[in-house]
Amino acid sequence: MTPDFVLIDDDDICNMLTEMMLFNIAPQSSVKLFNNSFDGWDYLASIADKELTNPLIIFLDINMPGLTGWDILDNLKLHGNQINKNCKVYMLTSSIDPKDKEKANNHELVKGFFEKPLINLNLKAFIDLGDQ
Amino acid sequence: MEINSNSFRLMADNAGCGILIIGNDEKIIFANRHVNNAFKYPDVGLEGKPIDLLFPGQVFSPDSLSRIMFINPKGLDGSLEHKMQVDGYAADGSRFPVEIAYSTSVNDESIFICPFTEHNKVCKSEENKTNITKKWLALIGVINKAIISSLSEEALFNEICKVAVEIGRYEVCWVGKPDIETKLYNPVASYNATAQDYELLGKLKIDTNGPTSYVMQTGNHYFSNDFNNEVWSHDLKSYLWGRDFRSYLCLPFKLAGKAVATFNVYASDINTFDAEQVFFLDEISNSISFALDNLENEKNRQIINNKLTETIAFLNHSEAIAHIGSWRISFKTGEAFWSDETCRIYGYEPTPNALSYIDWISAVHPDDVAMVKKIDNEARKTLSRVEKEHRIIRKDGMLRYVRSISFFETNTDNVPIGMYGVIYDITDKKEMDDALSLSEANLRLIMDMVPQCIYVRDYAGRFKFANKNYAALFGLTPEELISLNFIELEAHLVGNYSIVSDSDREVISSGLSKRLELMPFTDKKGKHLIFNVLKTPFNMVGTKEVFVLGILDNITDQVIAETERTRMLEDVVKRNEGLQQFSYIVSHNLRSPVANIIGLINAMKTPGMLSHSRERLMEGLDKSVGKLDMVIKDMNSILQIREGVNEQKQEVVFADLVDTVKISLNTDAVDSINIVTDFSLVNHIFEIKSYIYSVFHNLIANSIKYRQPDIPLTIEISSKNMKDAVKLIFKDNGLGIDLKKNNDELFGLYKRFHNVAEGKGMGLYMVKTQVERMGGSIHVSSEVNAGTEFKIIISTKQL
Repeated sequence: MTPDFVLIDDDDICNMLTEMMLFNIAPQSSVKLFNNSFDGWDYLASIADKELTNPLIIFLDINMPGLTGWDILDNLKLHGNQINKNCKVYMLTSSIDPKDKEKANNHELVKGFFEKPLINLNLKAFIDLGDQ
Repeated sequence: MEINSNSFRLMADNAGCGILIIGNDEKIIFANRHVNNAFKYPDVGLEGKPIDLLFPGQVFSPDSLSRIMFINPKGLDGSLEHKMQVDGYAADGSRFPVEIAYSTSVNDESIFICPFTEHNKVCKSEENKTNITKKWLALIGVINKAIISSLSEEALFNEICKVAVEIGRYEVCWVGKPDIETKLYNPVASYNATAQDYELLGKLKIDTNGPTSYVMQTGNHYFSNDFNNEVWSHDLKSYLWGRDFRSYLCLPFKLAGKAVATFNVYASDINTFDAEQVFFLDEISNSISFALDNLENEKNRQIINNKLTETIAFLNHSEAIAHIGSWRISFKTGEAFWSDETCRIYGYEPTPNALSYIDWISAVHPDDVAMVKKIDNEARKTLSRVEKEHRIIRKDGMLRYVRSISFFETNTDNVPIGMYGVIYDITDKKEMDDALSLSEANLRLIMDMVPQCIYVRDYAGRFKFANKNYAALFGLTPEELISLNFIELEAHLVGNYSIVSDSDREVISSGLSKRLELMPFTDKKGKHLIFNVLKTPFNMVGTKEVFVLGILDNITDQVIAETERTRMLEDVVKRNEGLQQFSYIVSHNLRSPVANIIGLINAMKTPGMLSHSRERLMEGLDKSVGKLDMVIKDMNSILQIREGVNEQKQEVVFADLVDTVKISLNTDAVDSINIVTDFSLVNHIFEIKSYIYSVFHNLIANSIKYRQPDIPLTIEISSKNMKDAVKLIFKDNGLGIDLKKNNDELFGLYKRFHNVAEGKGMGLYMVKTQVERMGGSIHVSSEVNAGTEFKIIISTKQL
């Protein structure tokens, strides 16, 4: 089943690249893109209680002004009762700080951690895995 | 020997019998003293007178030309030719029987001296007189012997009485100690007296005009050769008469020249006492008096002696208890008297024998001999009291310390003839003193060695004790500091020190210790020091007064080190923060455009991708490289602030700064911005201008950036003067910041809290870095949707 993607990152260039990559490997998937974390959370909140037809994969940047990636994770934990069952959250960050990676791996909602940029091969392998 | 020669007469006169020499013409050629007296021709003598005068009608054998007649001879029976008893006629016509012996030996020059016989009264008296003379002399000898043998007074009196009766052939002798007041004779000794005599003598009253009174009063003898002629005392007279006594002699016994007793001699004959006897008896009286004096003296001497013995024993005992010995030395003989204790001190057995100067000086420690001699010689010049301490080596080899005090003895010409003094062993005291002064010295040393400054002061502020370190604060030695009076103290006490210390007084008054920390003090050299001080009430040994003992710990170096350490720690923390920031910048802000560049290039390599989205990829690459460049530039400017700039401090006028910032931000273009300033209290600061500018620029820019869209922005900027600092306040009515959430990261690099406006999270970080660089601090208070207030405190203290 083809997953849907939600991308929350304040870095526009990165978003463009990620979108390109996703289209390249899963052209039929829908990609919702937010360069403002508040908007991103608003969307997630709006679907939080809904039964999703497709699996949802969220790419979440960590370092964003106002509402960070960690904040959104906390919100999800509190409010995403339904969405949590069918979604997989991947942290996507330019940070090479090992602490960030460690924190992400220890978070119950986080399935994986990607350093920017997303590379084709990596992503394809990941999507295949995600399919299974 | 010629008959008429003086020597013959002397011999004859002293012969034991009467001697008559009759010539052929029957006339007396020579008569000795005894003959003249017996026949009562004492003055004219019998020479030339006819023998018939003495022995009328008596024919003596005319065998020879001259006859030597011995009157009353005895024991010569075998050697004399003729012996007979005849009647002799005295000049006064009295007649008496005479025993004579005679010889005709004209040319015989031998003189015969024969003992007395008792048949003939004349002969007897003559014989007695000669004998008595001898015996009196013997008696005097006996008396002297009695005196020497120190008989008691009573024994002496009894002896005298006995001897007098036996020698003088008297009837009774007695000694009385008459009491003129009670008029009693008080007989104390007697010889030959009957019990009745004694009883009577005890009862009889003294006649005030009688002999006893006379003798007692005048001290002269009294005698009567026939008391029947006397007028005195009826009682005694009748007693004497009743006992058939005829002659009476009363002699005084004197004590210290005053008659204290009478010596009474009774004889049954009249005319018993001739001048010679009286003379001898007077002699005896004198001897007895002398003896009495001696006895008295002896008694006194005995008493004194006993007392002296007692005193000496007491002294010895006292000396032994006090361990003080006494001594005396004569310069003439070199002999020294050492008391028992003195002997003991020197390790000798107590001895009554005199010791010598040599004994003493040989006991003095060899090293002290010169000193001791010098002191004595010096003192001898002025005859002053000598006091010296020196060591001695006792007989047993022990070394002891002694102290002696002595005086010179001088004769009437003020020439020293000796020395006397006392000596005592001060070894224990000396050792104690030495130990004490040693421990004092040690204590002093310790006090001076410890790094702390220590002092003791009284309530008035006078120093009682100070160690070297304390006194050195005032540029003084401890002795100098303690010796200062108040006026001198005032002049010497330096820096912030005052004579009256309230805390010192408080400690003395309350009796409670007090701890003062980080007390600043400026010493004599102007060096700034910091002390921790402990003040505690202190009772000096031997005083009741309470003092304050102050112990000052010089912690200046510690404080400096502590400050330095704190500064270094702060520095390290800052640097660490900086490093973390850099690490963050590297991991996020630097990494972020790099990651994008990598991603873009990767996309370009993807087949078909470049042709498809060339424009967008190139644009992304351009932006990413620009961002990378910006981050690198930011890092550079941050590093510059951190490393410090070479810019000099200058006077920065706040109002001018605000104007410059307004122009650079082009605030005039926005109607709704109102900047209100109040620099009336402080209008400038002496600082690095670019830092102050950056602070003003960033804070004003932030306020504009994060203003509430619907409300006109008001920025209030004011300044205040603080102690050694200036406070700047920036207050706006903008969006505010949720400090609960963001406090930690508010001033962090590349931290952004709002999405409403473009910001890269650099401003507040720069402000904070610069303020801290100026030795200041920044504080924020804010309420979301109400506004934000920054307070910046910049130190103006010159470091």
